Amino acid sequence: MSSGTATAGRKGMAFGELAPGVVARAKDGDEEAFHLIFNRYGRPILSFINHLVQDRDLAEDLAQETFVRAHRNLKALREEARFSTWLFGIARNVVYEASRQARRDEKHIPLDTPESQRLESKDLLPEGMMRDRELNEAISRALATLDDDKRTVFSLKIFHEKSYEEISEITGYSIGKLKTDLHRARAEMRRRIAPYLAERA
Amino acid sequence: MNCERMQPELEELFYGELDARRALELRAHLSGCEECRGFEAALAREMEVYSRYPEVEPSAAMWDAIRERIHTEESTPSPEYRSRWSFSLLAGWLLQPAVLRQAAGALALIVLSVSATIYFTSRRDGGNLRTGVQPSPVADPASTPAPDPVQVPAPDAAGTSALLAAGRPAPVRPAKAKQLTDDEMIRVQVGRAEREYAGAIRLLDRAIAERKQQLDAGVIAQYESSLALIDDSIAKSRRAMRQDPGDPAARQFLLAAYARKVELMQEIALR
Repeated sequence: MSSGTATAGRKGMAFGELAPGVVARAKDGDEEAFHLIFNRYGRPILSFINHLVQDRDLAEDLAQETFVRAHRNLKALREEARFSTWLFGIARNVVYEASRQARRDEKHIPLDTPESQRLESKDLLPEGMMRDRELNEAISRALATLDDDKRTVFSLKIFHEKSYEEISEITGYSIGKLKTDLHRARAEMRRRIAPYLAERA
Repeated sequence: MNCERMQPELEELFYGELDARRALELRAHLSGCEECRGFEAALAREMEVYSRYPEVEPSAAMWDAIRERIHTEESTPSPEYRSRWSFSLLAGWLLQPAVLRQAAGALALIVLSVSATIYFTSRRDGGNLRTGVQPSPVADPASTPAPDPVQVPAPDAAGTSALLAAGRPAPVRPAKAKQLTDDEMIRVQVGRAEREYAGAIRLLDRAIAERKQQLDAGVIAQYESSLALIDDSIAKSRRAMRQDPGDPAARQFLLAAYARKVELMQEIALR
């Protein structure tokens, strides 16, 4: 069984951990410490938001709002060890608020793959890279078809490797609900990317 | 075991979320089940694909934008916070014992000075004021109960003495006070009243400055326009008094303009 492979990787390899005391320094108003926090979490938070809204520019605006709110509320954070969960929770709330606001304003938050993320010059790419990009586009499109709850838990579990407990804390969902959502999301994603997987195999 | 129904648990096993006892049972099953091993292999391929799905890199400007917003927030409290802050600051400031004492003192002095001035003015003008202008109850010595001399504030002793003088035998004044002519006395009283009004205006001005952000822009505009008119009246009355220091109308206008200014400012400060 390769369960170790799944939990090892992306999170641990892609990002270093914050040095102890950085969050405490940021809480005391140290801007450099908050910059370190941004360097550590800017990418995962922006990616998480982008998974949810599927719009690069909007994702950046909402990620900005997430960090500003985090800075504003940093003093309320009790357990530094739970900083990542706390920050993802803020990001999720920011996205949901924006989504509600957009519905009220009757704006359309695009869920289809935006033009900016589509391939513009496939012919110039090596074959392997082209297939990767096609696959990534297929993943983006498949993500966009999931409903909000499934997309959230799928992103947190698959791309950000959060535990059930952490996902529950971030989203407020019960473990039972998120397990069901996650299983259904995996199945839907699997079905949508299966042709690309078969091609790769 | 029904292999299809085991898929959610196999996923949990793959992602390390299954409890140890159940994980052992599933591993035992996997060793003898080709279908489940196939599912496990498919999960591994999926995971490999997902792990290559690119993350989004923040733009170079993102941190600068966040930092700018943080700095802006730090220097400008949120509207809700600012509103509460201004209100509590104003309330706190107004309730400070020193401010209350100053305000009460200033108002008492104004009343006494204005009363004294009007009394002197009316006496000098042979009662013209009483007939020409509606008398203030405070200013009219006949209708004002005589205050207890013990309670008279020392700084305004001259004005109060003037008030006390009405309707009773003239008190024995210190020799120095007797040397002042009525005109001089009036000028002293007007000057004192002006200073006292100016003190009250300063206090009110501070209170209004704190409160301005809470007030409607239309109210502020109207207030400022009225204030400009009153200030203009004050300036004109002063000019008239400089030209003719004994002009009772100029004195009256000046003090009335000050009274109106204080009244207007109080109205805005307490709005």
